[in-house]
Order: sequence, then structure tokens, then C-alpha cells
Amino acid sequence: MRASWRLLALIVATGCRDKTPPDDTGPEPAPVDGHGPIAADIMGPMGTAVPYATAAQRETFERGLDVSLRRFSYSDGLGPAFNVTFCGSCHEKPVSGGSGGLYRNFFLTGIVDEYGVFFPSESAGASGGVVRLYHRPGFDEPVHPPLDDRTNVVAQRNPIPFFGVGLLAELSDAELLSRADPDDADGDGISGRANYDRGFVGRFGRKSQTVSIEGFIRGPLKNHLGITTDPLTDAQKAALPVDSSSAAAEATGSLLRGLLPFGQAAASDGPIVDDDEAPDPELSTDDLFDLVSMAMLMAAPEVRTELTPLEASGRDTFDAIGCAACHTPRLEGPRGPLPVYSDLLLHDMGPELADGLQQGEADGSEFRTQPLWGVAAVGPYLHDGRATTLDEAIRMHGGEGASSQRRYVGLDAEEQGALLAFLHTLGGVEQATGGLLLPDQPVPPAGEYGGPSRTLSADELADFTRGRDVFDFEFGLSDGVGAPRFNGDSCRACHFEPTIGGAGPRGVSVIRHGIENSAGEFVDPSVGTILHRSTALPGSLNAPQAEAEIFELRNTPPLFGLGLVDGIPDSVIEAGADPTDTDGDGISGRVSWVDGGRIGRFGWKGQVPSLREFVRDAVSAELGMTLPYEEGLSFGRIQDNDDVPDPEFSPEAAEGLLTFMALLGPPPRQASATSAEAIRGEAVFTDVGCADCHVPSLDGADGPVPLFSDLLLHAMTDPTAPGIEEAGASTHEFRTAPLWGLATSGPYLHDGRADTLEQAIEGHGGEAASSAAAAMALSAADSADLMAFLESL
Amino acid sequence: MTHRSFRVARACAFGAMVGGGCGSDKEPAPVSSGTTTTTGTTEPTTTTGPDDTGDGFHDPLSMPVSPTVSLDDFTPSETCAGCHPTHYAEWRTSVHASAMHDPVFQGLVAVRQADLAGTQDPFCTQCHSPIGTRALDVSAGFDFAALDAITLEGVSCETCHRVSEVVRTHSAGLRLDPGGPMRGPIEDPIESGFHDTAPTELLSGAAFCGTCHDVFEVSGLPLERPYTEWLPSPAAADARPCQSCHMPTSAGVAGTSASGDDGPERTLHSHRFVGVDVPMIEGWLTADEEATLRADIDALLQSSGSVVLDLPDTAVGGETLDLVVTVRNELDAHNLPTGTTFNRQVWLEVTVTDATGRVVYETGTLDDNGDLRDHWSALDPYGDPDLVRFSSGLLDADGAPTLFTHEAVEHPTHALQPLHHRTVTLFAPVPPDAAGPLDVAARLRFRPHAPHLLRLLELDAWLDHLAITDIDAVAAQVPLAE
Repeated sequence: MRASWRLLALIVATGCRDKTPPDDTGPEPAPVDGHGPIAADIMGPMGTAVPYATAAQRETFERGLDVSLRRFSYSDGLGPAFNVTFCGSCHEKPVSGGSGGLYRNFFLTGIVDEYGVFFPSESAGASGGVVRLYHRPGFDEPVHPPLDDRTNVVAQRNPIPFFGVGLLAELSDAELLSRADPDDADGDGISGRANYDRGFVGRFGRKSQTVSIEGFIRGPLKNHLGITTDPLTDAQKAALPVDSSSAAAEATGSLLRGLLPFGQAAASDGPIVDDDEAPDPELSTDDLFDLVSMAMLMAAPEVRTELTPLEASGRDTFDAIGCAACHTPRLEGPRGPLPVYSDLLLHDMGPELADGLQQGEADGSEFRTQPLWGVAAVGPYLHDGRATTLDEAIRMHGGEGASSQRRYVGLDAEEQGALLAFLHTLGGVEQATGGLLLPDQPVPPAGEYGGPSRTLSADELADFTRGRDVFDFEFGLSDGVGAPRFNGDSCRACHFEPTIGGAGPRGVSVIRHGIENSAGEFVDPSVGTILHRSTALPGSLNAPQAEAEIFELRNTPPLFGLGLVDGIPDSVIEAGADPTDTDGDGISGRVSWVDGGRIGRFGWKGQVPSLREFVRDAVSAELGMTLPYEEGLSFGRIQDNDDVPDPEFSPEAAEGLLTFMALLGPPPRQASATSAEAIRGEAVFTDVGCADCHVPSLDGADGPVPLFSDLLLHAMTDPTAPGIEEAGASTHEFRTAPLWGLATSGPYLHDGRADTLEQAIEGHGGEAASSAAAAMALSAADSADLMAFLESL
Repeated sequence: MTHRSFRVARACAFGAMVGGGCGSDKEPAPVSSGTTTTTGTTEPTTTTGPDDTGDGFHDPLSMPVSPTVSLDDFTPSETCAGCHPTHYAEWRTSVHASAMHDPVFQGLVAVRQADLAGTQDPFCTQCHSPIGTRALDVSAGFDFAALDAITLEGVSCETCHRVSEVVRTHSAGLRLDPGGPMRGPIEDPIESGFHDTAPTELLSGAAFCGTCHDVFEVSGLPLERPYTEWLPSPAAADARPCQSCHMPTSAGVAGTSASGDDGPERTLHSHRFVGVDVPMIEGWLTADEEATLRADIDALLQSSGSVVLDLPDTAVGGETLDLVVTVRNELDAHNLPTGTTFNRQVWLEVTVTDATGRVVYETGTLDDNGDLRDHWSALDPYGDPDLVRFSSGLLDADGAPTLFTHEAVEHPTHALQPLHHRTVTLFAPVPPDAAGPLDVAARLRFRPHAPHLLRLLELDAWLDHLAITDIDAVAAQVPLAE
């Protein structure tokens, strides 16, 4: 009580700081539940199983984790419409099972019709309002599916973490309803009401729209991965860590409902099917069982109750300014008190945060109180990740949170700091970094993936490590991400396979688009040829302009060894060119000239001339951030239209990235490289003509660079086929893709259409058609050798 | 809300290494008003943001809900002419004087009035007529024809010389002080029987111009930012404000007394405010005035940019001629172009002609309506795939180009920053039967408005007045290889 009086005095004294009259902060916060004891054996490091898990459950947990990281390919049933290729894409921060960066936001959309009725928009079929960015090539849909043009509600969703969700599933409806106060009967300015999912009190999702973890997994599998499932059998449901059997459902559906602990039973009902050729269900119910079990077994974040004086004072402030009114410190579960810091109820968050989406009982401005356990490790914050820091997140609270927000703003910096320090005691902070690298993650030695190209001195290693940190760092909107559009919030967002600096799965493909004019010429759309996956503007859809009807995906290439490619002299590249096919081998190959008469050597179309320009291009085009002007460099945006002062990316950060990428080692050959098959296969590779363009090595600054490319442009498709023009490359020309690292850089080809190397070879056309045909016509033995060679790269 | 209004310092992992990660040190410096002591009535002094009235539109300073000044407190500029005839004569030909009469402006305001059902009518006038807007002569549903003469004077003498403070450097961020003295840079003003006079450095600084020459839409979208561009520019480092180019000085008499006595010789600043616009109002300028103004505009424009061609020694029939063109902003004070860059047209025209006069390649040429062959061309939309522009575009929520700022959610720009250049390579296909040598001509061209906009606003009569100025032009010959 003394603490709150002290705070009140502070608020009054500093209330003028934001021009808010002290009497405008609403009624005094209600008494607090208290930050009391916590149930035993429920907490653990993020990404681990609950301590109470049995040995058998731990095995299930590990299997489920594997399923969550399984990259689905087209042949596995990915799509046909999809956003990502694996569960862990979005639930990765700070470890698997967590949240995701800003770049993992997805669009959630709806239509309010002329009668005011809300229904979700369709994107390449019913998707619950989820916009699907990608569609598998070869279907009637464009590779970037259009959205229902009646869509008038557009919001973004940032992924939410799974830590402790099994414990939340165990909470009784009665426990949640006990805090509901829909009409604000107690007059504290905080209402709080329950959402319902098929009669049970919802608890998952930004609007508490879901009660079932199985449902919460099957839905996204379909909407985000295009992976179909059958519901778990009743026996499986009964065997889940949180009993979800129909017996339990019937019991909870009876008059006893609300008194019984488990509301889990309302799982989604029937099988899900789609229209790709992979047989449904594309994920077995056994795998689904493991996945659901894994989610239910995720340990709660380690909330610390032993606090320093600073943290304790922050906790008092948390209570005193009313945070605890919605961020309820403890919920009473069957295992004891859970430090959720949420009532899991809906609250009106005001017009600034309102997204217009209706889900169940929740209207357009209502959101579930986001649990704060683990909050320090799972930014960015708020439903669409608009807040980069906790401080920003607090300041953006409106509606029922406005009075606490005003009190927070009225605190002095020290009190605010103490409150933030308290939030950092709620778990996860030891596991968090600026991105996804683990704290003190070692640098692999030279010769391994992710290691440097040579053994580095201590100083060089320090620079390399710092550059890698920049590469990994997830920037937020207030750092200037977005111009306003963007694809990634970090470099690692797209380049992480098989490790940081590598390639990317289909879920991070770049969408290129273009306009074909009446003369059949290619014209850049107003925003350029990149149609970004995301935007800093809430409520904007990043729609392509109507005239843009050409869409093409761009698979993320690995960055290993680019420093060596950068060192290849122009003369070496020019020497390989044969633009008019003077040697009559059917292979022309021309230099990609880019702006300023420079030779392009990076990018699918050879559109970027140097590593320095590549860094600038990526920071601006992909992250939407501005860079300092550098004389003689033409890539990179130096000014954009947000209110973050330019340049948003410092020269030191750009230099750090360059250092990391210049020193990042080439992909190592696989152990199989010395096998007899691989050695024979390399001869086959040359014999059938692959090596005509995929030249095994070019002379670099410090010796041969075994990249298996001539870095030249070749006509690879029918010249009349629609495509994208970039720099000097026409719609049907592509740079010979380097093959080093092939073993780990699938999917293949510029748009990632090929799951396998066989499909990739078959996909070669134009100048490469005859070599591809020759490769396809090889004897089984030669073909096996060729594959062994390619897989050894 | 303003889009992207959240800018809070962030504890980040890299300290100074990551630009923007620790944003507080990058906040623009607060603008010092440099005010002199004020007397008499002034506008309310609360520092305000646009949301303070709660409707997300009105602004207590520049677009108040209730009048904060009275038209009666202001004097027509013509009255000032009695003692300051030179200044008045200069100002009368300026776009500050025609700010409320300009038909393109009026047309765009009419579109906004219609589209937004009168809910944001004073938005444009907050700068075009700060007095009329703050006096609420401009109110919802207003009609230009019915406005008071003081309001229609636009940016009049008193709009600047009765300013007591720069509150913010955007969106009409000046504070009017109608009861105060007339303010100006003359340090030892002669006492006048007509008004109190006070010396101030306020009007000599770039921040003063920045009060209107940085504009944000109601949505928060930046529309114009000459002042923001100037802040980090070499000109700013060299302490050369806007006035040093746009208000060049001369020696002369600042005022003449009622009895006809000239004041002492002073350093005068031109009040013609020459930029790139010629008032498009019938009878506004005499033929001589217009000719002089156009000459001065052309002189400014022709000093603003340059074009350099870098060509191969020879071209080959049947192959591509790579034209490397570098366009440079020769200004050290602001972008090329600046201001309403979404209206301005700055583009590169390149033509390649063979010896028979056949045009073998062209970009930046116009359709028969006089429009660039881009999205807005009615006759050849997207017909110029290589078009290189230096202006900006507005995009609506559907990603489609729009001409109206109130519909825009994005404002991508191609403008060149001070002393920066952009090098582009154009690939001109040379026909196999081309006759050498090839003539290559490149021009950097400027036009204040697009013809399609005038047509849309039914201002066809002014199409003939829409002059194109060549900022720079270069030409070269390339022989054909045997």
C-alpha cells in the first residue's frame, strides 16, 4: 500500500510530462491477485519439456519437435497454397516453439458486407482469412494468389509462443470466467470477457478464439503449410498429455461443465483435404499426435520470484499502475498457480490497436490479454509486432489499457526501467539474443558450414562474429524496417539453411512481379519488381497494382563463399562470354551488364555487381532500411518515407555485414565427394555438357573458386514466356546458378519449383535443353553417378 | 494515427554499430524558434500534435476547431505596398501571392473536399492561407469564391512578418502574432507610424521556411520535405539557408515614409520567391513579368542538374548499344526535385537516331497528349519500359498509383539527394540495317505538372502554358562498326 501511495505521488508530480491531467488516468487500479507461489515442476528453459513429463512423454516431445522442424516439400504435400514450409518457421524465437520475428507476420483478412456481417476472406480457397503468399507453380492460380477483392478488413498477426500452452489448456472454464467482468461491475474501467469456441472458454490466439491445441495446430497446418491432417482418434486424444477424449468432452458439455478441469475436447472435426497430388492426410495422425503432445508439453517460461530490489520495485509499479488488472499474475490450474500474467480474457484495446477482425465473440477492437511469461524473449510485441520493445508495447496500449498506459508514461525513467526490469524476470531472457543465434554461439571452424573461408586472427574473428550478429539481428519498425514494404527484418530471416548465411526454404521466397505492356514489353510496377511480403503500414495489404499480372518466385540462394566470387576479376568472367555463340556449341552466355557499365555477378539474374552493392541492395530492398550514401555505389536506398531518421542502417553495421559475408566460407564438399561414384559422376557432368555453363571453377583473387558457374547469363526459357526483367537480363535469361552447396540448398531453380535435383535438371530449358535431355537419357548407372556427384557438392 | 509514429529509443545489442537500433541519438534536433520578445495578443502557446483534439485531424495550431485569430487583425498586403512598393511588387508575382488562386491547387482541394465529404477541407489551406484557416474563414464545405480577401491573399506579408515563433518545422508550424510588431531581419528598423517594428533573425533561417515547406498528410505520410532534405545538406553545413537562393539580396530602400522620404539603404531580399512555378491565372502576370519569371525559373533549373553520357566507341548493327547515363543533382541544398515531387515531373529523355533520321531507340518521349508513357498515359500506358524518373509517386492501399495525397499510403521517391548522382544503363537495340553513325541525345527534363493532371482537373486551357525546361542536354555520335 505504501508503494502505491508513493507511486501515486509520483504520477501526480510528473503527470504533466505528457500533458495528461492526473485525474484522467481513470479509477484506481483494482487490488492485485498477488505474485505468490508457483506450481511445482511446470517451468523450464524455453523449448524444453515440462519437468513433470514422463519418460514416454519426453520421447513424444522430441519426436514432435522433429515434426515441427520437418521441411515439407511439394511431394510431401506442401501447398498448393502456403506461407511456410515448416511449423518452426514462425515459432522459432528464441527457440523452437516460440514466437517469430516481424518478417513472420501474416495477413489476416475479412470482409464486412453491406449488412455489417463479417466473414473471413478467401485466399486460394478457404483459409480462415489467412492470406497465402505463395502458390505452387503449375496450377491455375498465379504463384502469388489474388485475394477476394471484397476484402475490406486487413490486419497482420505476429506469431505467438507455445510455451506453457498445455498448462493453459488444463485451466478450467470456471477459473477463467471468475475474472470476467463484461459490464465492469466493479467499476475499475476494466471489463474483460470470455471468448468461446464451440461452447468452451477460448484461451489460444490473439483473440482467445480457440480452445483446442489440436485445432490450433491443424488449422495453421492447412492455412499456412497446405498440409492436410485427419483428426486424432479418440484413443489418441485420450492419450494426449492433456486429456482431450470425447468422454471428457461430454463431461464438460454436461451440467458439470466449468467445474471440470479440461476444456480441450473441442478439437476440429473432420479430415482436411486439398487438391495437390500428395495423398491426404499429408501428415499422419501419429505425427500429428506427437506434434500436439509436444505443444502440450512445452514448459512454462521460468518466472523468477526472487527479485532484486529494483525488480521488486518494478513489480510494485506493475501492480500500482494497473497492469495486473488484466495481466493477472497467477491463474489457478489443477497443478497449482500458473504465473501466466494474463487473464486470457478479451479486452477492448482502443482504436489505434483495433484491427476490425471479428473472431467468435471478439469484436474488432478486442484482444486477449497476452501472457507475459517469457515476454522478454518473444518480441516484437502486440498482435502485429508493431512494438519493437516492451517500452513501446506499453506505450501503445489503448482502450482498457489506456489508464495504465498513461500512468506508465507519467513515471520517471527510473521507475519505467524498474518495471521493464521486472518484466525481464518473467522468463526467457537468458536465452534471447538480438536474433536467433544463441548467446555466445561459437563460430564453426573454417571448412564447415557457417565458418570463415580461412582461419581467422582473433581480431578478424571478432569482426566476423560482430558481423554475424548484425546479420542475425532482427530490426523492428522503430528501427526503420520497411519503406514501408519489406521482406525480412534481418538477413538471417531468409538465409538460414543449413545454417546462418545459407539458403532459404520456399517460405521466404521473394515474389517478383511485373507488367506486360501492349507491345509485349516488360515494365516495372510502381513499387519495383519485388512484391514485398510485409509492410509497416497496419491495414495495408501490399497488394500488387492491378496491371501487374506476371508473378515469379525467387528462391533464396545461399551466401556461402560470396567473398571469393567477389574476388573473381571481371576479365575472367568476360573471357567466358560468347554472346553470339561463335564457337557454335549452342551455348552463348553473355555478361550481365548492370548500371554504370559494371559486370553483374550476384542474384538470379546477375543483377548486382559486387558484394558491397549486394549488401546495400539487400538491406534496402529486403529490409526496407536506408543506408548512408556512398559515392560510386548505386544500390541501396538512402531515403525513405517513414519517420525514422535516415540512414536507418549505420555505416558500421553495413561494414560489419560486408565483413561477415566477405569472410563467410564456401560451402564444404560433402564427405561423399571422394567416393568412386562421385568421381565418375563428375566426368558424366562434363560429358553431358553441364560443365559448359556450370564451369567447375573460375580463377579468383587467391586461386580457383570452385563455384560451378560461369556467372554469365543464358537463355533458359522460351523467349515468349512471361517472366521478369532485371537489370540487363531479359525475361528468359538467368545467370548460371553456382552449384557449390547444392546438397543443402534445395529447393532448386530460380523459383524453387524443383524438390529434387532430377526435377531441377529436367527443368532446364533454352540453351541447356540439350544437356538436360542428355542427362535425362543417361543409363541408370551413369545417372546414379551424376546424382552422387551433385549430392557431394 | 500517423503511420509509423512510434519512435522510441531501444536498448540494442550493438550500441552504435547498428544504425537506428538506438534511435534516440538520431532524433532531429529540436527546432529553436529564435523568437524575439513578443507583445500583444498571440495564438495559444500550447505545443500540440494533430491528435490533441481527438479527431485525428484538427490541429490546435494550424487547423483549429475554433478561430485563434480574427481576419480583422490583419491588413491587406496592398496597404503595405504604400510604403514598401518594391516588396509588394515582387511578392505579387510570387506563388505565395497566388497560393490560393492557383487553379491546380483549387482543383486538388475540390477533389479532397468531394472525396472526404468536407471532413478535411482546411488541410491544404493550413499552409496556403494560414490566416484564413486559423480565422476559420476556411471551414468545412468552403467555396473559394466566397472567401475573404485576406484569406485569398494566401501567404501574405503578415503571414510571415507577424510570426512570433517557429513551433514545428512542418505543416504550418508557425505561430501568428497579429497584435505584435512587424518582424524582419533589419537590425535597426526605422520607427513607423503604421506598425511597431521588431528585428528578428527568425525570418532569416531555413527553419522559418520549414514551417510550411515540410508537409505531412493527415495519415502521417510525408508529402514534401525540402527542409528535412536541407538539414543534412552541404548547404546547411555551410550556413546557407533557403533564403540565400530563393530570396537573393540586393541593395535598396526597404521602406518609404508616408511623406515620401526614403529610408536608408538596406540589404533587400527578393520577395519573388522564384522556384519552378508560374502562376496559371489569367491576367495575374503581365507578359513581361511572365517572361522574366520564366527566364529566372529556367536559370534555376538549368543550374540544378547535369547529364553525362558514357558511350562505347562503336555500335554494331544487330546488337545492343549500351548507353551509360549519369544524372547528377548539382544542388547542394535539397533534392532534385523537391517539394511536391508527386506533381513535379523530372525525367530522362534519350533518343538514338541513325543516319537516315530513323529513331531506333527512345525513352522519356511523350505521347500525343504530351504525357509520359507511364501508368497515366491515356494513349500508350506503360509504353516506355525504360522510363527513368526522378520524381515521386503516390500509391493507394491497393498498390495502385494515385494522384491524390489523401488516398495515398505510400510515397516512393526517385529524387536525387544533394550532389548525388544516379547512373543508369539503357540497352538500345541497334537494327541490323541501321545506317551509321548513330546520334545519341540525352536530356534531363522538367515540367511542373503533368498534362493528364490538368486534364483531369479540367484545366485544358492551361496545357499550352505547361512548359518543359531542359535542365541539361547532351549529345554524341557513335559510329557503326564495320
